[in-house]
Amino acid sequence: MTTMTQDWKKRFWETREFEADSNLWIRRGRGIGSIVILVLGLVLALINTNFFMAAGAVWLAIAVAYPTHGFLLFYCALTLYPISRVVTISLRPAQNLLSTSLSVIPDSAALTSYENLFNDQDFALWVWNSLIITVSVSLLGVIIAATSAYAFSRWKFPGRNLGLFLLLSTQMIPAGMLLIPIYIIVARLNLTNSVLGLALAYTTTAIPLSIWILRGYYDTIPFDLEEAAMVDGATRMMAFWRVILPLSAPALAIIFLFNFLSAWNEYMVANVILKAENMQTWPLGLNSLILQFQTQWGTFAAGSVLITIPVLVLFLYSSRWLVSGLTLGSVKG
Amino acid sequence: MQGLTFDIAVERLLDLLPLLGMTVLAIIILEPALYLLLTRVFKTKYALPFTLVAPAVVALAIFTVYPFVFNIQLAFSDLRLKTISCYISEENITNAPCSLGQAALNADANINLDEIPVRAEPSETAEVAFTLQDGDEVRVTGRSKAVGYTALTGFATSETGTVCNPLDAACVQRQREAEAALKVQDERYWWEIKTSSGQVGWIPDVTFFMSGDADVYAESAAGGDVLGSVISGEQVRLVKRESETWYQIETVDGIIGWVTAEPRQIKLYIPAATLTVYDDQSTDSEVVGEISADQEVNMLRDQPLTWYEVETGEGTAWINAELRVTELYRPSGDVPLFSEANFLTEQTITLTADQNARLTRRQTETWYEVSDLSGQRGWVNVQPETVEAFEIQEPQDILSVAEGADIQVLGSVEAGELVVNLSSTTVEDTIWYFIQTDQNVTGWVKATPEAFTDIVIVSETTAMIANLESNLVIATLPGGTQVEEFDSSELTWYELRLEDGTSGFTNIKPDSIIERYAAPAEISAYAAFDDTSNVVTTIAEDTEINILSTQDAPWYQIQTRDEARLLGWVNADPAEVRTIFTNSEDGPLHAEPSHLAETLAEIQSGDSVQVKDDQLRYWHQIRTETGIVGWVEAVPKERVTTDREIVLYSLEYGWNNLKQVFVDEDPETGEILGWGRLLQTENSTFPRLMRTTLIWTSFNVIFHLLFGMILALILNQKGLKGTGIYRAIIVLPWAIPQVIIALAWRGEFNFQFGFVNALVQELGFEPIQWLFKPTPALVAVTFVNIWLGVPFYVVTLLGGLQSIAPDYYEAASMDGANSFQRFKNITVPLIRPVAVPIVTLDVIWTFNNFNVIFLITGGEPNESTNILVTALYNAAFGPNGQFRLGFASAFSLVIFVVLILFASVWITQSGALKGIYEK
Repeated sequence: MTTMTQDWKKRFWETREFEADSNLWIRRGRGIGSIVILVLGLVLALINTNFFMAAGAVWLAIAVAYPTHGFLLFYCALTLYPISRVVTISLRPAQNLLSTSLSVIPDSAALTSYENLFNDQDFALWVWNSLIITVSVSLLGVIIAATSAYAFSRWKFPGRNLGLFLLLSTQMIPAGMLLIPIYIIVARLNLTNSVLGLALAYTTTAIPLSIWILRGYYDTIPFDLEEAAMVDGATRMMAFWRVILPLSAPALAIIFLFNFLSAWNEYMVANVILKAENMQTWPLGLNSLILQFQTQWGTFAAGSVLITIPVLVLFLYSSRWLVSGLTLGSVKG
Repeated sequence: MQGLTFDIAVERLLDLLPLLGMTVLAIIILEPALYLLLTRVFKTKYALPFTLVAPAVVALAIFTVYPFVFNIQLAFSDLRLKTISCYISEENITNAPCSLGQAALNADANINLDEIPVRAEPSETAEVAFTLQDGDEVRVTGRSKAVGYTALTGFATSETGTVCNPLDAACVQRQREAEAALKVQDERYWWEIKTSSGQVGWIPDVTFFMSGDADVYAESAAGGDVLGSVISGEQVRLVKRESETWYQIETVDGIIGWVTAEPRQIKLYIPAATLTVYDDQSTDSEVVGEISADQEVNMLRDQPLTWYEVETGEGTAWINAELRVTELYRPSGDVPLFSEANFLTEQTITLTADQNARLTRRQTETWYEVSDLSGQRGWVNVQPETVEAFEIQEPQDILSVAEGADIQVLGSVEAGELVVNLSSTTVEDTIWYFIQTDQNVTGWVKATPEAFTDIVIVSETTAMIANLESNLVIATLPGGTQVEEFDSSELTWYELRLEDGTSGFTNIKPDSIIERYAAPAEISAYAAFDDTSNVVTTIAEDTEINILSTQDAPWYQIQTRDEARLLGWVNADPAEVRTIFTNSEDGPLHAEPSHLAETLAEIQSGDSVQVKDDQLRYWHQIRTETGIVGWVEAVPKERVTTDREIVLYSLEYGWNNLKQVFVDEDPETGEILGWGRLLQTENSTFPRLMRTTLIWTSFNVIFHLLFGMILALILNQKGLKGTGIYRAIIVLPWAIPQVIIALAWRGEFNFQFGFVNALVQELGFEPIQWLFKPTPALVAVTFVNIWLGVPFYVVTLLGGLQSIAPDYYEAASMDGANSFQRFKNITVPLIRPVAVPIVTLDVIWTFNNFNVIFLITGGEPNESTNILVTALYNAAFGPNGQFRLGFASAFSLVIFVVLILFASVWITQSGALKGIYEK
């Protein structure tokens, strides 16, 4: 607090040697202005007992005094409020679901929506369906990408450049474009409405990008390491298994996460392939809560919160690497 | 609702076994085999890399390259899956109505391209009342807006036009225009249509009828402005349902408001015989009309009513009034009747055997068996009371007051005497007891009792009788008499009324009770179980009737299907409309189930008929589309299966598909109607879609870059406090699954309940119809996607900015460059290698973004927020697309080419992928 006040004094009252008079008075004006705004706003808010007015006054005062923090706070509010609303709605008791209240913590908060989610809906089943599809697809994707990327990184075999280009081109294919043929293929295999059908449809979605990212990572590992292993008598594959794979564990984790998130959040393909109610993955299940005759916002919000929390934790924990991984593969080449 | 059980969890895991099997097979057998093949047979030095790449190549070949090629192939086909799913017979394809996912392509499905099912009720799940054939003339007699349906089986029908063969593109196109005129906002209608033969049914629509009278309020709360009222049975359009009880409706008069009464859907009924329509549920009510046999009516509600066959003095007859039940009592021997329900009252009359009495009242009385101190036992009907008593220890006087002046000695008690304790008081640490002796002397003593005991006394003077079967009084017990209680018994008294009107009570249980019925009011008795039959007699009120048999006959509230809105009650059993069957072979229609009977008509194989009676083994009574009822020998079957090779490829199809993306022309005249015909609402939609896509992509990318850059620059400032927290908060939208974000925002853009409008109103503006007006809807979805995309830019650009060495800025500051110059000359060039690939990716991602638009608006209203990819999805799988997969494939190719052109121009101009081949 003391540093804040000192900072405040320094910013607004102390004369700086090189500063022109006009600038000094603008600076001081802002300081006084922010205090005036704060006081006036709070008085007005107290008279009207309006929380929004009070919050607005505080924000305006900060924005006048520290425009940077003002902007960042505004943007954070813009980010946080809609997200917090989901939590709010999930906590509302059934009779207040359709409230126009803007408050963050609802009156008489209740966990009925969460109970409904498990008692009246197949939430656990949705999550289980999603989970087994996602995990198996991600594992398969990591296995395929890890070996292929190694080949792309260490050999200049014929067709390598073409292959890399084609891998990148697949990113441009609109998702809807492959949807029709994939749907027909899955239907012909008689695998609609089954987790296997969806898992097959998902298998290759994340492979191209995974190969790009991994290849970039392998390139940073010096060849000397494998050479040393091979001098010691290891075969090429043993060197790959013993030396390269352990070294690229972080990259493999990123690939797995990347595969996992893309399959976990997928909606469009699942919507076409899975129709039976007990086969749905969670995006379909949550969407079905919205599409029904009477929208079950509370239940939807409760499901969203439960889905989001683990994903959020996982993501925030790994976001730094995810970004570096993405740029590693697609930017540096 | 099935729930996750252990069995299901395991079953799902086992479903994935083939995937595991394939992987293991590939690693253990296929890969080594391929390696050996490459080294020994082809002797290539790249055997190992080829082997390593093989799985990816195979996987991509199967699930990316082959679909891609297949997609091109499909573009040259006329594949459409419109109505397959409704008629599929496979059992494991389950519940949802008419959606594509239920149909397997080569499943044994019935494809009715030339037929349009018309339903008895405006519901996807309703029975198919009849089927429209290609070229049938229909008239749209009503329309309504659907709520909440996700699948569409209905078909474009112009208000005066014909129903087309969907293969006839020109006809379909003309009808689209007609539908466009009818269409409002984003929800489709069900139309009530009437064919030339008078059949009435529904093509997707939703109409409801009120189940009761109700006021229409302006708001969904009672007490607001009343806009009007609706009566029971009135036709309304259900706009919205808000809670279990509030419905927003639109009446025939066009009033839109809220009611609490429950609207319900109708059923179509056809009466078996001519019926009189009454105003109320009674044949006594006003006759409002008559409907003839085989005339279709809407069944609004039904109410069962019991008919009784009764025996009156003038023979048997049928009545349908609610009867009052009475009980007749017939004693087996003489029964004395008391004037009141007590033994001790006067015994007035005696009911002799074979004399009838009606039971009018029952009452129960409790009797107690007691004995007094003299040992005489008997029954009293006054409840004995329990009081407290104790034994006197020392002889003493009984005083009038415990302490004070005027103490009188009232008597004395002996040691060992039992006295009743009535109360007690404490005077100067001595307890005084107020007692009562046997001699009824009451007063105060101060003797300390050793122990209290309970004694029983009768509280008031009562007669004691010998037993409950007689009224012999053996003693009269004065109130307060000490008795011993043995037993108690419930005694039921019956009030009987004799036929001569006298009445009395008896406690002897009747041994013969006959249920009789009495008319509650004057009612008519009919000759037959039908109120159109002769009235035999009139039964006066309270007349007793014997019921011989009962028969339940429902009353139906009906409404005729013309516009006259005749509402009334009929009480014959209407024949319910059943599934439409088609006849399996040509043949005559007979009046009776016999070849010898009169031939009513010739019917052809495939004619739609309605089965009325299938009780006979070989003969079926049917009703044809023209309303003739007769018997056929052939077995009608449910819908004709048309086996058809579904996928046909030809260059012509391909050309047509491709042309349809860009040009809409009248095939007969060759006249160009517009550019592009992807959507139903307008002709020139390809340019419109391109425009929306470009607006969508450019706004998104520009704002992503703008906000991303600003935030990254701010967060990159030296000495800014709380950067970590800001960064963590800003990155949140990226971390949350898009599906959740999109659906949550969709709720927040809700007109009434979303916070966006709440905020808008808080700021003093009018609320905006975000999702139902074209421009606000586009603003809404674009806003959400900008909100979603900024974090990615912030994080990546921040990474780029942090890698710029601060030396550059210091050097520039030395040279006197201001902050804008520093940004322009240092930051921009150095951040470019990071920013350009991100923008490239973002352009592709935004261009291909499906989730946000599809989940928030679905391309609506009026497809104004459709971009190319969502239009593609709608054309292929969407509710308005009719599953024209061939056309959708061609369309997707066009989109792909557009994207490739767009991306390649961008990439070559910006040098985004420079360095790919450098290694």
